[in-house]
Amino acid sequence: MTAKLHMQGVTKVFPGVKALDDVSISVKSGEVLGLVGVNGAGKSTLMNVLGGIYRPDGGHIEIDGRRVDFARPIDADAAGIAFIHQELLYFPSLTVAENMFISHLPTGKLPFSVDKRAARARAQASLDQLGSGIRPTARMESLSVGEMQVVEIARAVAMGADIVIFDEPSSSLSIKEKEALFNIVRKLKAEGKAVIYISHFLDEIQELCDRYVVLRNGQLVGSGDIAEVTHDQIVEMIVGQVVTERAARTRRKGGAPMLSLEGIRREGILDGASLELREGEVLGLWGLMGSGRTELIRSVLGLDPMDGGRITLAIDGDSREVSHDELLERTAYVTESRRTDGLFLDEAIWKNISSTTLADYARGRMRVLDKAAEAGTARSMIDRLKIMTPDHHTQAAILSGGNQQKVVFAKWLNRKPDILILDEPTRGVDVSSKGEIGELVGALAEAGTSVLLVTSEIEEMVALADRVLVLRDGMIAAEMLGEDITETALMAAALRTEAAHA
Amino acid sequence: MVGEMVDTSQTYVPRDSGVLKLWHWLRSHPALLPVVLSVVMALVFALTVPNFADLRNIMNIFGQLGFLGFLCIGMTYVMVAGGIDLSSYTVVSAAAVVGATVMVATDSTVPGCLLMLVIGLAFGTINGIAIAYLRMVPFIVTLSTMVLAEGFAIWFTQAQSVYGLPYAFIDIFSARILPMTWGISARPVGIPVAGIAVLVAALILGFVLSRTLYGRRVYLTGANEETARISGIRVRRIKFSTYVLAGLMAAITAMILTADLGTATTAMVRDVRLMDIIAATVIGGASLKGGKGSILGSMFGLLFLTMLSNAFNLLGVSPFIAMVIKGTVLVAVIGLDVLRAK
Repeated sequence: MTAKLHMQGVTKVFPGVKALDDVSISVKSGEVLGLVGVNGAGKSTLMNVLGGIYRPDGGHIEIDGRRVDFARPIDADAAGIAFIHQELLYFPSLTVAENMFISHLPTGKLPFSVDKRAARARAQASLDQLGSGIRPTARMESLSVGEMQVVEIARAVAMGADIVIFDEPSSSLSIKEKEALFNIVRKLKAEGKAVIYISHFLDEIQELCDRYVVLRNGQLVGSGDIAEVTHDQIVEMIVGQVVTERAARTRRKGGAPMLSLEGIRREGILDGASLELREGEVLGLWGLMGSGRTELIRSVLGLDPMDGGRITLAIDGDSREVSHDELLERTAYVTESRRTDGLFLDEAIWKNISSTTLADYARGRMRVLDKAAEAGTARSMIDRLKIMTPDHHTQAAILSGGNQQKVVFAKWLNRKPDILILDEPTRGVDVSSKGEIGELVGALAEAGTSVLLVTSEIEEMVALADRVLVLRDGMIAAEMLGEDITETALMAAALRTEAAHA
Repeated sequence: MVGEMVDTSQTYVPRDSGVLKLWHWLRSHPALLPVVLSVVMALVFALTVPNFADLRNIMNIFGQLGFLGFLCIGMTYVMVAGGIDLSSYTVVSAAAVVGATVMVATDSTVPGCLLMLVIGLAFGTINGIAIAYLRMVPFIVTLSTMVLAEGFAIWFTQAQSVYGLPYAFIDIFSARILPMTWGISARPVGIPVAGIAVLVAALILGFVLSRTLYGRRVYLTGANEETARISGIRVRRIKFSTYVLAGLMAAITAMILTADLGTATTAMVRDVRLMDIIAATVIGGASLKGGKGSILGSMFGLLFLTMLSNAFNLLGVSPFIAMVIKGTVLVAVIGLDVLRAK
């Protein structure tokens, strides 16, 4: 059987960079191909060539054995290629059906009119095909991220796409939504679609894909049947060096109480959550999206409303009740979305790094900023965290995801915080940066920093947390200690939550 | 697309091309554009427009900067912090008519000036509270206070001009110092105090914005309010302060204009001038999205527009043609800003 899609010897050169170097891949109908590699390995470039966004400088694309040439994205569209992007594009105030057919709305009898009934019926048909219960008349903004993604997949199905590309589809989904997504991918496969699945999560690749392709520095460094390769072998190909086995580590006990929250309430979201964060420990907050993890943090820091509860903080060994602002000033908070509220994207790296401790650089009565000192701090942070950048004047926006996240860490470490709150600290971050960030968090806890960790990545939780609190319906439902923190236990805790909702 | 930009940038290759270097330098120094525009414009006009380079005319232009300069400084602060203030020019009228009326009634300068300050600051405070603390949209809030201030001024004066101001007041604010002669000019020409005042204010407030702790906080608030807030910057306080500063600038403008005109009226600053203020600030590098702009840039943006009007005036060209050209330049500059952002 010939491949449904074949990319032959694709090369793409950007000024000074060979982003793709003679890369060939192919996918058959009814097959799922896993595409992996660190950020910057060339995955997105390859997919942009396939999507008609870039023209290759060498090589070509074949569909059903025939050579095709995509000059524009619409050509790829017409050839039956659909992309499900990591960041979804949609019109929040329009309905699901309208979003699905935004470019191909069925026309009515009158000129310029739209046959809404036909659009609804077709939307319903493709949603049914995916086994989804989403109503075509629902407003897009009322859906969860996972549901929006389903709509996007349904749209691809409705457009008759038979090559579907998923670009890190699971990174913002809850566990339950991930399972639904996997089922849909399997369904597409059963229907004979050719699927390319891009992900940082090797577990997902191993679970979903038939074959894999690994890119590194724009070159294809490995490919084959997923059944014939181990997790560690893939990691080795991705990183390009042998990764050391994860050493079994002892979980830290933690010292004196640093921060305690008592009965934190927020109407409809938090229902009296209490916790105690100790000195020198990594405390994990585990729970489904919507269980109140991020909401708890934001309310306590005064970024969202808080309807009740007490915040007690140890300041110089003295515990006392503090205001939101006082806590915010003493806390480092790596938010879950660095582009929205973690970085000043248009600003230089050095301005980002000094932003949390600006007053320390103010000199004299005029409070003039010492730019040389700011630049010095930035340069030492760039060295310390191995941020890959030409210099400290570089705009944060043009760094890769992993390096952007390191800048976020740098700006908080600069404050030498007692409390470090991490919300999805490695989302959209490549494997090697992920490892470095993990080591950094461990070292900080070792040095006495109190770390509060929120993550949806089960491996990360097991690897980093010393103690885990399970959050359910805005309350702390369980605590896990030491040896009890295992992937199975965490999964079970999350699934219990799911059962309670069902 | 965005993901792709992130991807390729990991292999950092220094960009050596001279054109690219120039481009990047221009990008990081947006205040350069109005400076270059102004210098070129000044040279062209000096060579082509009769009397343009005359000392009297130069001092005339310098003095005119005093009328809109303070408002431009206020607008720059507000825009850098991510807002906009449409109300400043009618606040000038409101402050001027009340202050002038009191001056006429008391025949003394100080109470009237204080009242102008109070009214300017009051409008700034209203804008600031509504926008920073009640989280209302800057455009709508200041559009409302613009109408409010204008309505108030007309009601207060019954649409009549206020005459008979104390000479002491007029003498202070419309004075010219250091009379000197230049070439064949018969009468000595002095430097207008209004121009000096705006120059001093621009130097001080430009320094504050570009070099101090407060200034950086203004920039970061405008660059990304959420990030700034989480980074520990009290963004509400910062935004509030910029509107109060804009109100103060309006009050100072009220004093200078009232003295220069010898009268206070409800339409001292015409509405087309609002466009000049915003245009000067945007030409100077400010962005409606916030986080960008500088006092230096805004001042040269204003100088550029003032010279344009002045030259057209000298040439006897219709001021409406000047408006057409200003509008065109503004659109071109905004277009350039979009290109620069890429």
